[in-house]
Amino acid sequence: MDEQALLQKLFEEAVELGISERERFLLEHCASDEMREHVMRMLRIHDETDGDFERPITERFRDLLDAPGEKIGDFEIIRETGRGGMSVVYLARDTVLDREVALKVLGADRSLSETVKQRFLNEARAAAGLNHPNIVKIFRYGQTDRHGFIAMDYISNGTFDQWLLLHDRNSAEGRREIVLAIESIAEALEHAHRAGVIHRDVKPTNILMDRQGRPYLADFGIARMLDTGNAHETLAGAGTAAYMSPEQIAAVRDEIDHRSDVFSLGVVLYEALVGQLPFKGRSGEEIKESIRKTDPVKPRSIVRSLPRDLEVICGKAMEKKPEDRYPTVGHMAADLRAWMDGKPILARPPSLIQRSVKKLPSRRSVLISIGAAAVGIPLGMYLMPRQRNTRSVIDAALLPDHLTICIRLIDPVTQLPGEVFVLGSSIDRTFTVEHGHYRILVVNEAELVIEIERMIIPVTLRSDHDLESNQVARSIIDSGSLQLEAIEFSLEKNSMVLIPGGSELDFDEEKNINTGGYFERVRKVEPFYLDKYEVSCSEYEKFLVKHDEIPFPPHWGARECPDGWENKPVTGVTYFEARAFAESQGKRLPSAPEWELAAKGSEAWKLLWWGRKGNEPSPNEEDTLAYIQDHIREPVILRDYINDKIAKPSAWSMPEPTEYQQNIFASETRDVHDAEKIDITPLGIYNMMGNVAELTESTAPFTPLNYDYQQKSIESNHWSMPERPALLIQMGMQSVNERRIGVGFRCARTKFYSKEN
Amino acid sequence: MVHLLTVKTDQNHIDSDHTESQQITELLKAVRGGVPDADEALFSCIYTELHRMAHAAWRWVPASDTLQPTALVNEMYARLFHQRDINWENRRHFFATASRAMHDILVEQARRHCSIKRGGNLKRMPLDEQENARVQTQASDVLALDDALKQLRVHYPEHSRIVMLKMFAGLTYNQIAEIEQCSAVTVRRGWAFAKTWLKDHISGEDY
Repeated sequence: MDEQALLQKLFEEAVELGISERERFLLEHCASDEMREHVMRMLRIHDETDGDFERPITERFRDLLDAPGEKIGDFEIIRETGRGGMSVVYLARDTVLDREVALKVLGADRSLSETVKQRFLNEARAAAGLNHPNIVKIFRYGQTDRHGFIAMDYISNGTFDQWLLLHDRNSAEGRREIVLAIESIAEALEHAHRAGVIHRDVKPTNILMDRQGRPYLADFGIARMLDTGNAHETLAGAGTAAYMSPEQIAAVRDEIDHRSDVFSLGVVLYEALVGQLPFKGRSGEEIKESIRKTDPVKPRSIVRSLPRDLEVICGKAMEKKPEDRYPTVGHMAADLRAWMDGKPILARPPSLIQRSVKKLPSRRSVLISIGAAAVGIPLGMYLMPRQRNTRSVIDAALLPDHLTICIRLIDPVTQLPGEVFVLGSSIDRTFTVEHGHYRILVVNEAELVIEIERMIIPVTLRSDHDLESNQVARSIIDSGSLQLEAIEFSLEKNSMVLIPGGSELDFDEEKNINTGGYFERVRKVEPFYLDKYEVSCSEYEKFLVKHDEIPFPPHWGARECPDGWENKPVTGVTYFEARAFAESQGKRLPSAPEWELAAKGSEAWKLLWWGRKGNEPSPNEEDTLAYIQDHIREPVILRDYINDKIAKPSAWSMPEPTEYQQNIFASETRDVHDAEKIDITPLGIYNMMGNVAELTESTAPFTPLNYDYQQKSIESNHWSMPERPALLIQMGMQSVNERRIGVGFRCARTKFYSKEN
Repeated sequence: MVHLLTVKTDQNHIDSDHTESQQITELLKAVRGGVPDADEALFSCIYTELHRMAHAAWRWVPASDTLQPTALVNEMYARLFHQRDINWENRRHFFATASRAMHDILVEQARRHCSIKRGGNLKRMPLDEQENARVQTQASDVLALDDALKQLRVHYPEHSRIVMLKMFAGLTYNQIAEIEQCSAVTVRRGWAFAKTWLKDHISGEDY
């Protein structure tokens, strides 16, 4: 133990003892007289002054704390809040009007050049003449004997860059808030420009935020009065390098106009959305060089989820030539608003494919059945993992020109597909994506050719199961590339039903966990087609005939479907097998939100557990039970399971089905389209409650991106689970290689819209 | 699935007055999540808030009614966290930051009134001679204390944390023990040592 630690230890032991005991204790424990002396001295100090430090500091230093602050004119300084090249900003109190202000004070200790004075006055005059909700208000400006000062509104919540620190720029909501803030600043700038004031120093630190998250443009410190037109020789080039426009750098006096602010605001927007500056360098000179000569890295190659329109807006604002930019910052504001409203932006006429993709939600639809002629060439998509294993590059180099690949990340929380990203002949051939669960759609000009869902993850993370199972699937993953083959698809009459899109209530788990409250979240589901009933054993048998490599469901006992089971739902298949089946039909598995929307139908809100409608009262248990008795077959035999006559339902997983289980399966499941027993819901779909539980494509929120950990959501309940008869929501999860005798599936397909009718 | 049955409809408790507490809560989360610079942002947020409160309190509270740091911090605590359930990690970060903010406010005030020659720049409000002398003395005391604290932090980091929480956040032994995850006795002894050590190291002190 070193001396300091020893000193502390001895003191702390001794201080608890009485005076006489202390001496004995120290004689016993101190190795040296010196140490003993030291401890004794400290104990003396302690005893003499015990209590002094116990006084509250505000009392002890009361006079100091009460001492009034310095004053400038009528303003009493509270504290310094910032410092610029020429000036200091204080939080101050206006003693006349008794309110807090931000007081910008021009230092008095330096001999001020006329330029600086002019600049200061310019700022004051320019900004004082502006009256806009997003421009910091100037209350007073003037000079005392020593100081020039500007008193302005005190905006209390820091600057835009500080605000961004706490901001989730990658969430949809966070992105909206950023766009909203920049749009407000664009409006403020437009107002200034109309008044003849160019800001010329638009940057994050000049945007102040209040507690409600409203932005305010501040510091017209180098603003130039258009109508005076003087002093700009010395001012050009004075802006902060990273946000300067090329013409500011070149200091071409006649070229610096309001479009210079458009450029700077574009840089601010880019940085806010992407998280890094578009033009970088180790020195001011390097940055300026970069602004003059290089094009910024495409935002979406850094933030994959960034909507294309926002990338276009950034690009348009940051064009090198002023005439290529938005003609006014008001135009930029309009495009930002359009994006927020979900309308097309004006910055660039969207291409054919973009147009068709953009208009998906509102266009009258035709689902195209696909002829075999559509594609004959395998498409190669190479997935190359990068170093950090968070992204892969998709290379669509082999994609035939007439085809386009759209990929949509499945949101790990809501399980809904997000923004559509397009790869195709006219657009990028390579694409960097974050790893995740994607829906991949291959379309020609107007038709959906292929639709699959896959995780895009590093090859090393794919488990053996996955590789093995994918070999049995139609799509093969082989050394990192994914080959897709077009297949013929036709919408069989009456086998599928169009589920119009709609909202579906879900529990907002994130919010519930964070707040301890109860929140529902509306999941908006896009229109899609869903099989009217579960995949039957006979349908699955046909599929097995073509795929020798796929094992049969264990309770069949053989590759042939047992007699009498033809119309029973197929169960005991793994997720991979179900997916392979769906893809062989040109379909996919439904997502959990899709399944639930279809299952609940338009009447479901009447029942307990199924959600509510608007302000309608919650359904009660009695009504719910009555409905169940009317609509669900009586679960008599299930009582036997509960009474322990056979194994518990939890033991009903595969692959060792007993003969007894087979019998139960035969007697307890109903045929998939047994119209006598199954109601048709108002959505035109057969009642999805209670026959077999059904596998979906959805996973639990935030499941690790590795097939080994994937748990697929199972919806509804099945005949061996009587406790929850009316469940039309998630029953549980099942891992991707698991088989359960009570779990079947049905297929879905995205409703695709042709570009023109 | 079970929680389906416990539907709460009251979602309208979002109170515009609590944006600052929301921000601090967010910041605390960010600090825990290791967001770069969140620490600094948290500090500046609490600092600003505390400063405003302290300033208001020192200005308007009648002379006889001393506002103690405990009261100050507690009031802030109540305002910031309202009635939400605050977890232990949040408390720890909050008090650590709040005590540092309190400390810095005092030191800043002391610097302003100490020997730093700023008189040429800004005009002070006139004080009577005696009052001025007291202010100057206290200012140098604060700065001396601050110097000693810095040394304490180097040699005895745990003790310096106790001092911060005790002196600047006004917490009790038990509260500190909870935050530091040790016993109240340890805190009491540590405090005895730390304050003695500080006195010993403040030259020319008159405590």
